[in-house]
Amino acid sequence: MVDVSLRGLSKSFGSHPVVHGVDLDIQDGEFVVLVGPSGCGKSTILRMVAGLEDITAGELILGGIMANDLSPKDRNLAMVFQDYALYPNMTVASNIGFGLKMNKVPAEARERRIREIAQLLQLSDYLERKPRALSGGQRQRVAMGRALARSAQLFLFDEPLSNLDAQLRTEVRTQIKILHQKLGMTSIFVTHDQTEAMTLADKIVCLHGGKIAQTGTPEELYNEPKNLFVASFIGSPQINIIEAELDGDILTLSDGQTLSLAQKPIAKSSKRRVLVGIRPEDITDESRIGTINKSKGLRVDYLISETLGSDTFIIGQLGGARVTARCAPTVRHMPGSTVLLHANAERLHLFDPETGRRM
Amino acid sequence: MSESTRRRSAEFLVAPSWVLLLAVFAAPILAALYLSFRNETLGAFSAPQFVGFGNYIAALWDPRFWDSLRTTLTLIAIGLLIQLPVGVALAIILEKNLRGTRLFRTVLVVPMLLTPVAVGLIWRFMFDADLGVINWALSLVGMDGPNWLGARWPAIAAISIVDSWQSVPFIMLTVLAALANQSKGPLEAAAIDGATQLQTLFYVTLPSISNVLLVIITIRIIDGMKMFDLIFIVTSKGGPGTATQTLGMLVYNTGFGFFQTSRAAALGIVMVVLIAPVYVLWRKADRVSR
Amino acid sequence: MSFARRKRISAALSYAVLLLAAFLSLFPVFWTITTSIKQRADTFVLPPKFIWFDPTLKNYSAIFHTRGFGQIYLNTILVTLGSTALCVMLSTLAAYALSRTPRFVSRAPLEISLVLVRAIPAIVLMVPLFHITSQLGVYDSRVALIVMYATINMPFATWLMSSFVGQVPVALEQSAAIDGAGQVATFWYVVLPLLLPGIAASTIFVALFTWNEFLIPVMLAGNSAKTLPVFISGFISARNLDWGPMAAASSLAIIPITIVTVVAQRALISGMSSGALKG
Ligand SMILES: Nc1ncnc2c1ncn2[C@@H]1O[C@H](COP(=O)(O)OP(=O)(O)OP(=O)(O)O)[C@@H](O)[C@H]1O
Ligand SMILES: [Mg+2]
Repeated sequence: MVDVSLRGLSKSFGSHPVVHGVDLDIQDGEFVVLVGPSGCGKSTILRMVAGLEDITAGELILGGIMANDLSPKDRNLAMVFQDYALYPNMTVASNIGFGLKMNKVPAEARERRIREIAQLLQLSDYLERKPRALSGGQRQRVAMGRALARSAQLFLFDEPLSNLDAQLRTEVRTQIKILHQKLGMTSIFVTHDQTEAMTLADKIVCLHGGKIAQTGTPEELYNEPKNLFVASFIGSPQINIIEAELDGDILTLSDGQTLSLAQKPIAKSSKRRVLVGIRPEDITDESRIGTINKSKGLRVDYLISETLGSDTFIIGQLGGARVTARCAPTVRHMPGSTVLLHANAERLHLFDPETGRRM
Repeated sequence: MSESTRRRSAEFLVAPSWVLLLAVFAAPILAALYLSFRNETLGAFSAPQFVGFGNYIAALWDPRFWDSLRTTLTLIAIGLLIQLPVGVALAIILEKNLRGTRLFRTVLVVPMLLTPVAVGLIWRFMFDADLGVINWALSLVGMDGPNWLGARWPAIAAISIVDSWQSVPFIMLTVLAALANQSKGPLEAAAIDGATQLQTLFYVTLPSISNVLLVIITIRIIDGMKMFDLIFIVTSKGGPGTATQTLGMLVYNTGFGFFQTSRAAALGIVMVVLIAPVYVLWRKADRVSR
Repeated sequence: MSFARRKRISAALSYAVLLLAAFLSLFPVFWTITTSIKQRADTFVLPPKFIWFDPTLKNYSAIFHTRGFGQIYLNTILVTLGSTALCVMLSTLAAYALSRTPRFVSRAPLEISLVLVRAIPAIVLMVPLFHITSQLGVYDSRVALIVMYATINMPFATWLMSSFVGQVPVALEQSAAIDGAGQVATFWYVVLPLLLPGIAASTIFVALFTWNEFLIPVMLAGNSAKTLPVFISGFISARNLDWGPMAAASSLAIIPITIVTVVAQRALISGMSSGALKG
């Protein structure tokens, strides 16, 4: 296990830059998730770490050693691919044991290790099968097993769950988390699914257009997004963004309704335009909000609601924007009516409309 | 693996192929160029010397060159006119996946793979004017078969028949592969739009494989320029006389019949030049078809 | 006309065409083989005897007793085996490089050379090769034939193998690299096993082409490296009367092919166009 450092890591394909100077430190045993929309360069970064892509600029340091020019086989890492890349001509056992064989582990020790891993991942009954005779979830486990068999110093995952159906995905996710708790392997996990990122990560790296938008724990990213991009990417349903005018500690929406901030902003007191971010659970009905930070009631033009059982999401129009509010399941409203909701003034996020940065 | 290592190992992997290509292909081509500017003949008494474009001028001046060029092009044209429609038609029928298609496909592929020399001989036997099975079959329906190999046009017809017999399977298989790859959507849309089968064929199917057809045509032209074995056998090296002498046959007769080494080399280079536009067409068609 | 009826008629027509085509395809083969086991007298009668004749193996024994025939058949087999092995081996390596490495120095020249080898009539090479082989003392040798055949068939084999290499996911190789396999181990344990069907198809094709090759040996082999097609071609000078032995010799060439075709039809049918169309 090892510390990993990325120092100004950059990648261009020909003259087309894709990753722009990524800095990242990963502690021994940490589970880091790279998350971001499709095409933002997650796989590229992972593949540079793996040694499958040349590094255009910057440094990659594995366990204190400059690793830019090491071949993948000399980096001592393991990787789970999106479509698993199981060797179709080998049995499950040979797939799991291949890395050991390549690293000249004697046959007997190899056998033992394969059985151990198979036990861990509940693959013991399938060891003699070829990958084509396995279900999606089983293949996924073989891919995990292949990565785990060798005591690699670093584990890389490139969207390993995206080929599974929704239910299996949650199941495997939990399994990976349990494995990590048990084995403590240093891991980099790539996904474009923010739920996966939130549930798995010790540390999330949120990428946007080849740059890091924010690095931090899941809580940090959720509670204190540094910019509009992170705010809207993390969290489901998405954060509500409403235009407003800030004067002192009073926010005025475009329809004239006002909201007061819990704390006075430190900066200038002059009037200015801002974007207000309110997470759906922070705008809710009377029965759910405490009395402490209760804002004045906000009139929301009701459109529809989505019932989940535990909650009902009310979707409506507020200050010229579409907003989603997480309410108690008992509320019922008529289309066209107006609903009185309350926002948690403690948990308003203000962003500069020009730069998108948190204020 | 770094990019430069990968490039280095690629060079290493193709190196053995290069050895063969240089020895068996590049060297002879260069030698042919060199020879074509000299006057080497086998068993000549005077020492060979440099003669500039003499061989080329002589070769192009020679009516036998133009005759054989005309014969070659005629065979290519007739061949395409027969083979393309037949090959496409058979492919379309096989594509319907009627019962027994697999068996038929196997049977229809056989001619393509048989030894051309053996095939030529047996057809020659069948084309025999007096005792051949073909003229006998024609006599059954009251026709008087020609002396196939005794005159220019019947001989050209005979060669075209044998050539088509061997080449149709290739066209059929290639078109079949193209049809299998074509998406079914447009076909179904055309059917729902009320197109007849024939309309669908001409307005949907054939246009969708037109690039493959173009590639097939260029390959057939290339192979037509190469045609050698069948002529050698069926009409005994281009007979009667030189009536069916193709370019390849002319090079052979010049170099290995009359031992005019340099003249044969010059003719060879002329053939390479003639092939050049086809080569360009091929690259273009093939690029589009992928 | 009802739809179902039209469909039946179209099927009937299709079968008629297929039957005719099958008849035309197989008749010459049938005719060769029957002629090869007919008495001389039965060969020359009209109407021809298709089935009811007195079979004989005389023609075959005549062929087998031809001086040097054993040598010729052996040459053909050895040359076919040697050049097929050489060609498929080199083509597999080259195809692997071509389809896995988008840029390397000799890539474009190699691609162009392959197309040229395919496009330029081999007859052009024969006069110079005659000189070169004579000068090197390898005229009329099996080794020279093996090397030349391997080169001539290289474009087809390389293109065919490329299409097979293209079907092996790159991720498998990357996965192997991460598992600690070097380039050679990756090729040997991961890529090669997956290429076996392709190698089998290429082997069959190249072997067929080599077996049938006539142009090169008729000019560059004398008596000691003579192959079957050259031997068969000898019958055209025999004043056209010896149809029986000729058919026997031809049968000895085409019967192995017909068997291979039927046994390996799958590979042959799917491989033909992928090997021919690349450029
Ligand atoms: N080999 C390549 N050549 C050129 N551009 C490439 C190459 N590989 C990736 N790219 C580009 O680099 C960018 C980042 O790609 P990358 O695969 O890292 O995205 P990603 O974040 O993994 O996306 P996804 O979630 O869809 O997998 C994309 O815009 C892609 O088009
Ligand atoms: Mg990706």
